[in-house]
Amino acid sequence: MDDVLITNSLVKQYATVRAVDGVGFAIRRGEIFALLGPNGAGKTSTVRMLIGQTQPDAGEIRYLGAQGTSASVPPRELGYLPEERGLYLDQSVLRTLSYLGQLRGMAPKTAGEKAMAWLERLSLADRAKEKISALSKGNQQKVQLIAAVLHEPRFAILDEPFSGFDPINQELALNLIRELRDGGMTVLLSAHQMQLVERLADRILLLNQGRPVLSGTLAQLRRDAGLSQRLTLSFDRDADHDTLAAIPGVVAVERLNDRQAALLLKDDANLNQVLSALGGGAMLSNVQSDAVGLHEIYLRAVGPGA
Amino acid sequence: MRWVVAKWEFMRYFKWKEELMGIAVMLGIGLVMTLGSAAFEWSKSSQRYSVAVLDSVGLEFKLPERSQISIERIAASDLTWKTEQVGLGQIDALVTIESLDSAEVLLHKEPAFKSALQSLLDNARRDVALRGAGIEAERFESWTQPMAMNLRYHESGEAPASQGDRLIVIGFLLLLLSGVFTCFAYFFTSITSEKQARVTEQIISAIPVQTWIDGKLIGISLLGIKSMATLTLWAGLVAFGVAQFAPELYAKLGRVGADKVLVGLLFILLGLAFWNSFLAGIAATIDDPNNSTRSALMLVPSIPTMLAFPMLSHPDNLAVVIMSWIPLTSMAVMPVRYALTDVPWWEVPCAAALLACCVFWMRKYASRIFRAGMFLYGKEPSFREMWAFVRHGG
Repeated sequence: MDDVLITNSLVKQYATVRAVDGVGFAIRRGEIFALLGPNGAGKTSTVRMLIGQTQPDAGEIRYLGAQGTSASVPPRELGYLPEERGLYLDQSVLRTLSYLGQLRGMAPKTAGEKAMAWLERLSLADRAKEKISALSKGNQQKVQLIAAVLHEPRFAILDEPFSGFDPINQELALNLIRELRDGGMTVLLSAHQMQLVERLADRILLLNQGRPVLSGTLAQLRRDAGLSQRLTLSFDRDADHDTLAAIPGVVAVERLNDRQAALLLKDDANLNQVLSALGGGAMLSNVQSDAVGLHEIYLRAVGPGA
Repeated sequence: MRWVVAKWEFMRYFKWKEELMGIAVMLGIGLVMTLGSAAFEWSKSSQRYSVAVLDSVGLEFKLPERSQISIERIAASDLTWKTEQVGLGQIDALVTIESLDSAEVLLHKEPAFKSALQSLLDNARRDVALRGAGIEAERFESWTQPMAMNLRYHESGEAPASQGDRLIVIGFLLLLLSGVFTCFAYFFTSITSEKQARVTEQIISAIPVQTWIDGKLIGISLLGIKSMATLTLWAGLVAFGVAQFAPELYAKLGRVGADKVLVGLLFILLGLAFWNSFLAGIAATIDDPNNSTRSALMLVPSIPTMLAFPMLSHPDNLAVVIMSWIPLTSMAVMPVRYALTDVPWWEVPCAAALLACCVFWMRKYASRIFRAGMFLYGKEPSFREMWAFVRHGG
């Protein structure tokens, strides 16, 4: 896949804060690229530079679009679901979508037709003429999501697309974003639901305090974070968590309850040695092994003590 | 793209159903007021008052045609039962006249006919005095008339505006005031609600800020013009009604020439563009519409129009001439001057050009404040910060 957006050494300085400090990454055409990090990590500042709302103080952005190279994603090629949600609550669903589509260059008729098709797809067609204020938070989020992709952008930035959704609608949104990707759209995703991001993102960039911390596929992130497996252990008596933490190859112990704990293992840890250190499993009533997830990597990379 | 925004802004607040409902309500109120007022007038004019008079002086009452008062002269022997009739409300008043200087009036309730009775007594007393002096009443009448003073102006001089012209100009200023207040209301509602709904980022990622503010300016100015057009239509209907039912009153109204209309329209359009740009910038800095100190600034555009009212009586004053040039006030003052006095022809295009230039600058600088203001949540910029936005573009 070729790159569609390349950034090098981006810097953004506000009055007393360096919000972005040497961030560089490349997003490939047609992939889902997740930009993650805690609050204040520099995600929003980076996104605002990508869409041209602010200019970088240093570094460069190159977007390789249909109209050539530009220093930000051009409005016609951009679909944007901002972190700050915003809809005209006093207006009808259909009118609002049609207006937002027209602002992205769609003809009024086309915008209306496509909006109706999307509303039907997301089970909102019967509410098209209602005011947005009459919709639930989840349905408003669906409208917001439609507004971001209605004009079939080449590049979509979806900031917290799952916000306000129940698990069923989260699944719906997840499949929708996958479909958009499969249809050729490049997606820059930012979300705090790590399990969903893990399932969705092709590649991930983890930021902390304005700087890149980890980047790559989930497997690369695991490797770079030095983590491999998560062992969930159940004991038939109270466990000594301090002893567990001292076992070679264990990076961290998460106390689940008195008789349960989860161990994070280094990527070079030997499972047999770890189990032997537990007394050959004499005290164990159950062992479950999983690959380390994004949640653990995230906490290890940007959590307290990182 | 600015027309897409303009149409959206206009249609956000213009709703046919509500518009027609408003017209229907206005017509209903007008009808009720007209009918109520006519019924009151009919009731008032058809009312008759009976007054008993015990006159020991010998006054002669000359009742006008269709007088509401009927006089019944009584003898002293009738005084007791006439007093009782007043008490029972069977007659309205009992007047006892014992000298030319005073009369005692016995009443059952406050008299609606007091001034008519006073006039009747005055005239009767005056006639006695005139007869005593040997003067005819008609001659005395002519002496007391004011001397006719016919004003003529030299052909090289300048005739003042008529009362009718002033009335038209007052109508123009009220119209302007309505336009300014309409725009104020819509800008305030539109922008503060957009800030509260946080649509800014979404819109600005799609179109440039200047396009957004331009679209808003056009859309909301059109709402102001629509409001003024509606009022003009109402005024036209009222004028039509006056022309049908009171032609003598209609004849006193000033006539509006096409040139005055054009000058008025030109300055209305430029003035609204100028002040609406200002409103857009200020509204974007308001964080909490209920408690913001900035809300008062939104009333500034009404000041020029308010200032123009006292100038109606002295449209040639030097201060008025200067204010008709200054872009802050020319929107209201130049059309007033043009309608009421002779303005050298070159002054109008020059003042309009000056205002147009200021529209350009105001639009540019207001959009800088707008851009910065729309991204500020939870705080309002200080005036120093706003000045920095103007200078450095936020």
